Amino acid sequence: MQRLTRRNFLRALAGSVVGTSLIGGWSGAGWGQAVAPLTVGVLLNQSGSTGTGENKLIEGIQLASDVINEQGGIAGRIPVKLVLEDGRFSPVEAVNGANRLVNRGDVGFVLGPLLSVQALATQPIFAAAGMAQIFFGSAEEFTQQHESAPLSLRYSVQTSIEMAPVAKYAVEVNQQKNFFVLAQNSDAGRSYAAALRAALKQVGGSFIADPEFYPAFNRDFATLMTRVKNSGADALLMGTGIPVEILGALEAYERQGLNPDQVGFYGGIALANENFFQHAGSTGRADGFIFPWIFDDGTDPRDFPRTKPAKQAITMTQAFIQRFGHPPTSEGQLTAWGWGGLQLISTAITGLIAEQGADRLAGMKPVGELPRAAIGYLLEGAAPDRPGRTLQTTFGDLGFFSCGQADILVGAATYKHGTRWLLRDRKWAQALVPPLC
Amino acid sequence: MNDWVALGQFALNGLFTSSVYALVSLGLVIVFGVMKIGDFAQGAFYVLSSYLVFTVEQYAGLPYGIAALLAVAVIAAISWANGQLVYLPLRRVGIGQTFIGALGVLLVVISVLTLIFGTDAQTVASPWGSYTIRLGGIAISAQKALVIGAALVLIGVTAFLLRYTRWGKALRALSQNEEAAALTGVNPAATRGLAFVWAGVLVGVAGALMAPVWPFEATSGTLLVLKAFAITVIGMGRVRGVLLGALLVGLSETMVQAYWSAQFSDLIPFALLALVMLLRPQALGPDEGRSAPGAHQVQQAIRWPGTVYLALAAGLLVLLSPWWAQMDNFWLHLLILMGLNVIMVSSLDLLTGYAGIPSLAHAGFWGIGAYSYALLMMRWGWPFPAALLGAASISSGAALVVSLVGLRLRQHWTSFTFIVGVIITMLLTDFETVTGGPNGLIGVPAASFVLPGLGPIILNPFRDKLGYFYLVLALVLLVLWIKRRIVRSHMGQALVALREDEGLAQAVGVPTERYKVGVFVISCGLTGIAGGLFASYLTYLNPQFFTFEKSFNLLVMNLVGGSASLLGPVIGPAALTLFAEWTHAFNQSIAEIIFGLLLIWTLIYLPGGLIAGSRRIMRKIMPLAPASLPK
Amino acid sequence: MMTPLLETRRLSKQFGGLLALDELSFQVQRGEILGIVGHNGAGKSTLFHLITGFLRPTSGEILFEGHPVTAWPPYRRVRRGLAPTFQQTRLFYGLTVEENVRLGCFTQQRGGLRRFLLGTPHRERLTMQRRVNEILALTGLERFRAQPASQLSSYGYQRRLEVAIALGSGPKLLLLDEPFGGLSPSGIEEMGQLIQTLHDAGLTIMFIEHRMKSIWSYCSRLFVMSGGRLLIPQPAREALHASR
Repeated sequence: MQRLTRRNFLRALAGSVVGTSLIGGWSGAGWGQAVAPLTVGVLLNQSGSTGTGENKLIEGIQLASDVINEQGGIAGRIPVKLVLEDGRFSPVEAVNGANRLVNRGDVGFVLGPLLSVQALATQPIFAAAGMAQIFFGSAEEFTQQHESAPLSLRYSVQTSIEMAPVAKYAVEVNQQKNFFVLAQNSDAGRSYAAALRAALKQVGGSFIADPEFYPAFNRDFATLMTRVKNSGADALLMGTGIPVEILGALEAYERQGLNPDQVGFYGGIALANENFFQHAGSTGRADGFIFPWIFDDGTDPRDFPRTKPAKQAITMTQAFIQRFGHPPTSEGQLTAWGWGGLQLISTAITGLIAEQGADRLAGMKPVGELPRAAIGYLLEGAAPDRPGRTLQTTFGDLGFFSCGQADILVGAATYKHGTRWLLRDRKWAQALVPPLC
Repeated sequence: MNDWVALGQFALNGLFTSSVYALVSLGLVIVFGVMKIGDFAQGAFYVLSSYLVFTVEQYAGLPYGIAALLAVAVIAAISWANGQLVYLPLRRVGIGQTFIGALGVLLVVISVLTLIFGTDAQTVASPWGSYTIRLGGIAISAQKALVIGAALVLIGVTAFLLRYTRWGKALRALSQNEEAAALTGVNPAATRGLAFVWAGVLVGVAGALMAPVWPFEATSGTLLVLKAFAITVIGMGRVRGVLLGALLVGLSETMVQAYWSAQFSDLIPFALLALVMLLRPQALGPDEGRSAPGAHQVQQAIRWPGTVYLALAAGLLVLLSPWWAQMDNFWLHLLILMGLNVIMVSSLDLLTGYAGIPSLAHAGFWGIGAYSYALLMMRWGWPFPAALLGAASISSGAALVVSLVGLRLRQHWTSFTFIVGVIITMLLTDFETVTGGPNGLIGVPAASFVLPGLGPIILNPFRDKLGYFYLVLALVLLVLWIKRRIVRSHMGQALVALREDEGLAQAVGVPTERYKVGVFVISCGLTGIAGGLFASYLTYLNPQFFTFEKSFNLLVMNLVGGSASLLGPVIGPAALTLFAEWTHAFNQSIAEIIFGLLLIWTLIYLPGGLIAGSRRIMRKIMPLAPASLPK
Repeated sequence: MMTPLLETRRLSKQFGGLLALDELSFQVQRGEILGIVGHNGAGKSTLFHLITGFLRPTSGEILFEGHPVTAWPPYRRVRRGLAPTFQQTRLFYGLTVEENVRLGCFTQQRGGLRRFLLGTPHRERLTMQRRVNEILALTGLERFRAQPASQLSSYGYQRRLEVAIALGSGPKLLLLDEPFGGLSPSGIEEMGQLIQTLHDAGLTIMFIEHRMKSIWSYCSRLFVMSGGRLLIPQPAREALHASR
C-alpha cells in the first residue's frame, strides 16, 4: 500500500473520480486524444475433440468484448480488439499460435489455451515475452501457476469444487454412501477420483472399490458396468468431461437395468454439457442424475428460493439473448468462462486506472509493463488462506486461483422431466471446500 | 449376481467385441491378400457407414433396416472405388506409398465427416429400442445380439466364398503368389475389384449395425482399425487365424476390464501382437525381400557434384547474415522447427530410403532423445553439448535393443516399428516419476555453451531466435554432411544392396544383419540430437509431441520430398511447412482434406517425390551426367 | 593329397518328416568343374542352400579349404571365397549393370573411419574400376554397362550378369544353381563357354542342373543325386553311358 502523501491522495481522488465516472458510463468526452485499443490474443482450439466446447469459450469472449466496446471500451475508453489463433488441438500448433501472437508485438494479454498440454507448452513463451496469460483448465495438480510463468493465471473451476456438492448430496440427501468411480485415464480423470475421495471422507462416504481408469474416448462400458452392478455400490461417479464417454456409460447403465434409486449416477459439470443434454438430458434419460451447479443465468425459474443472481450474470444473459435470440443453453457455463476471462482483464485495467490514473496507464508499454501491472493488481492481497480480489466475473461467483482464494460457490442440480433443475443453491456445500484445497 | 453368472456375462461381452473386430479384420485380411497392405481407410469407411445410416434415417425418413442396407451398398462401392483409384496406381509405385495412401484416404474421409457433422457425438436409435435379451442372469441388447449374429453369418459366407467360388480360389492364389496366379488364368484385376467390394460390405455392415450401439464421431473408427490390423498380423494374414485372433483379442480385452484394470485394455491387442512377432516371426507370409523385375522403380540417381552443395550452403549463409537479423521472429521459429524436421527426415531417409527399412517409430526415438537431454541436464547437470551427445547415445542404445529384437522378424519391420512407437509413447506417459507423466516436464534448460574468448552463452529460445536458428542450421549441415559421407562410403553401398535384395546382398558378402542394426542405431542417434534440440527450444516436453501421428508425418515428408536423397529430406519439410502456412487461415478440416488429396496425388504422379520432379526440371536446364553408385 | 576346396561330411537335412539329404559326403577338388544332376526333389537345391549358408543342416559338416564353415552365415562364406548364384535369377534390378557388378565387388572394398571421412583413395578407385571393367569384359556385358538391369533384353544376359556379380568377390569356388535353366541351345552353348573360360582362368566351379544331356560336356566330373543321396561318383562320360 502506498503512503498516503498529499500527491498520492490527490491522484487517488482524481483517479477514483475518473474511475467512478467512467464505470458509470461516461463516454470520456473531454480527454481529447484517441486511445489505442487493447489487443487481446485468444489461443483456443476451434477444431479437434474439444473444438465444440472451446468455440463456446470464444463465443463468450467475443460477447464480452462486444458489450465492453458498446460502452466505449474498458473503463469506457479503451476499446478491445481480439486476435484469434487456432490451436488445432495440437501442442505444436499452440506453440506456433503463441509465437504468432508474440510476434505481433502489440498483444499484452492472452486468453487460453484450455488443454493442459497446450497451456504448459505456451506458458514459457508468454512469460519470456512479458505477456499476461489467463488460461482455462479443470484438473488441479498440474495447472498451478508455475514460478517460471508468473504472468500466467489459471482461471476455472476445480474438480474439488465440483465434487463437494456431489458428495454432500449423495451422502446426506440420497443416503448413497458407497461409490464406484469410472474415470478417464488422464490427469482430469484422476483428479476427479481424488477429489471425490477427499470430499466423501468429510461427509462419511467412501469408495467401495478402487477407481477404474478407462482409456480416453472409450464408449464400451458393458463390462465395467457389470462390475459396478456386482460391486454392491449404491453410487456411480463418471469422472470425465467427454460426452461420448458419458453417453456410452449411460447406455450400459440402462442395459444393466440400473436406475438412480438403486445406483445413483453422479458426474461433474460435463453432465450439463450441451451434447449430453441433447442426447440424454432433454429426453428424460438422465432424470435423477446429480451434477454440480456452478452458474446462475438469472432467468430460469427455480423450485425454491435462491440467492439473488449476480449482476454480471444478468448482464451476460441479456447480451446473449440480444445477440443470439435465445437464452444461453446448458453450454452457458463455457460461454460464461470466456466472458469471465475477458472481464478479469477489464476489471484489472479499470482498477489500475482507478488506482493510478489513466495517464499513468496510457504511458505504460502494452507488452511487459501493462500486463505485469494488471496481474499484480489481480493478485494483490492474495494468499493461500486469504482471497485475492474477489471478482464477480461470470454467471455467478467464480473466483480464480487454487481453491480457497476466492468465493467459489457451487450447488447441486439434476434433470427433471428433461430439464435442468437446481436442487441446492450455490452456497450449500461451501463449508466443504476449504479443507479440500 | 454370482461369480459364474458374471463370468458368463463377461464372456458374452467379449464375444460381442470379438464380433466387431472379426468383421473389420476380415475385411482387412481380404484386402491384404491382394494388396499386401493394411487398408487403414476402412477405419474411415466404418464410421462413414454409421453416419450414412444416421443421415438416411434423419433426412430421408427411411427406417433403420433400409438405411443400413443403403449404407452397406454405398460403402462397398466406395471401397471399390478407393481400391481402383488410389491403391492400384500406388501399388505400382511401391508398398510404402500405398500404405501412406491408405492413411491419406483415412485422413480425407475423417476430415470430410468432421466438416459436415462436427465433432459432437452422434447416436442412432436401435429399432429394438431398449429390448434386452436375458438368459439366466446374463443380458445383451437385441442390437448387440444382431451384431454377433451378423458376424457369424458373414464369416460363414466369406468362408464359403473363399473355398468354393472361383473368386475365392483366385483370391487365395493371388495372395500366395501373384505371378504364378496370373499364369494359371486368374484375372487379377477382377479378383482385386471384388476383394475391395467384399471388404467394403463387411466393414459397411459393421458400421451400420454398430451405429445404434455406441455413440460415434468422425474419429471413432481409427483405433478400431488399428486393433483390427494388429489382429490381422496376429492371425498371420489367414482367415482362420484372423478369426481366432479376433476372438482372442476381444475376450482378453473384456477379461482384463472385468478382472484386472480398464487402464490396460487398449494395450492388449498391441501386447499380443508384440508377443506374436517375437515368438512367431513368420507372421505375414512369404519373403518380400526380393525385388522382381517390373515391380521395381528404377532409381535414376543424380549425384550433384559436391561443389553444388558447397555453393548452396555458402550462398545460404551469405544471404542470411545481415538480412536474417531483421527476419521476422515467427519465420525464424518456423525455420527452426523445420530444421529439426530436416534432421529427423534425413535420418529417417537413411533407414527408409537407403536401407529400405521403413520405420513408424521415429517420433518415439525423437522423444527418447528429447527426454534424455532433459533428464541429463536437469537431474545430472550435464553441460549442453554433452547432454546432446548423451541424448544421441541413449537414443542409439534404445535403437540397438529394438533392432536386435526386431532382427528376428526378418521382414515385418513396419508393423514392428509401429508397435515400438506405441510402446514408447506409453512408457513416456506412464513412467511419471522419471518423465513427468502425462503432464510432462516443465523448465527444460535451453542451449548453453562456452565459446572461447566469448565466455558462457545461454541462448534464450524465446528472445534469441536468431541464435537458435544458427545452432539448428549448423547441426542440419552437420547431419547432412554425415549422411552424405555415409551414402558415399562402403556402408552406403551395403545399404543399397540391403534395400534392393537382402539375400543377394548376403551373396555379395554384405553382413546384412550387422548393417541393419548399424543403420538403425545411427539413424536414431541423429534423431536423438534433434530431440535434444527440440527440448532445449521448447523448454517443455510432453509425450503428446511424440506420437504415431508425428512418425507418420515424418514418413510423409520423406516420401513427398523424395527418398534416398540428400535434398529430398530438405524439400519435404520445407514443402509441408509452407503448405501449413498457406492453409493457416483455412478451416482445419478443409486444410486436411486438401493435404490428403495432395499427398495422394504426389504419391501417384511424383513417385520419386518432389526432388524427382525438380531433377527433371534441372536436367532440362543443366545436363548432368547421370552418376552411378559412388566410385 | 591336397586339401579339397570344399568338402561335406555326412551332411543331412530334415524338414519335418522329410529327409531331404541323407548323410551326403563328397569333395570338390581345386580346379575342377563339378556337376550335380538330378530330378526335382532329389535334394540338389537343398544341398546348394546348405553349402551357400542359406539353410542350416540337421547334422553333418561342411568344410571350405579345410575350415569348418557349417555355422557360418552366407556373407561370411562369400568373403572366404565361396560365391553363389540363385536358381531364380536375382539381380539388383533397380541399378545399372555396372552398378550391379560394382556391388558384387563389395568384399574387395574397404571401409573404416579414414575412408568414411575422406573418401576412397584415388588409387583404390582406379583399381576397382579396372576390376569392374575386367569382369564386364569377361562376361561379355561391356556394351550394357549403363543399362538398368531390369531392362536387359535377354534372359541369357541376365544370367551372365548374375555370374558377373558373383565374380566380383573374387571367389575360389563358384556355385551355379541351374545355370542352363531356361536358355536356348545357343544360350546354353554361350553359358558353357563362359564356364570354360572361367575355369581356364583358375576358378573352381560347381553347378547343379536337372538336365543331364546338355551339360555333361561342360564338367570334368559328374554326380547324380536322387532321394537325398549321391549315386554315381564317376567321371562324366562313364556316368553318361551308365545312365543310358
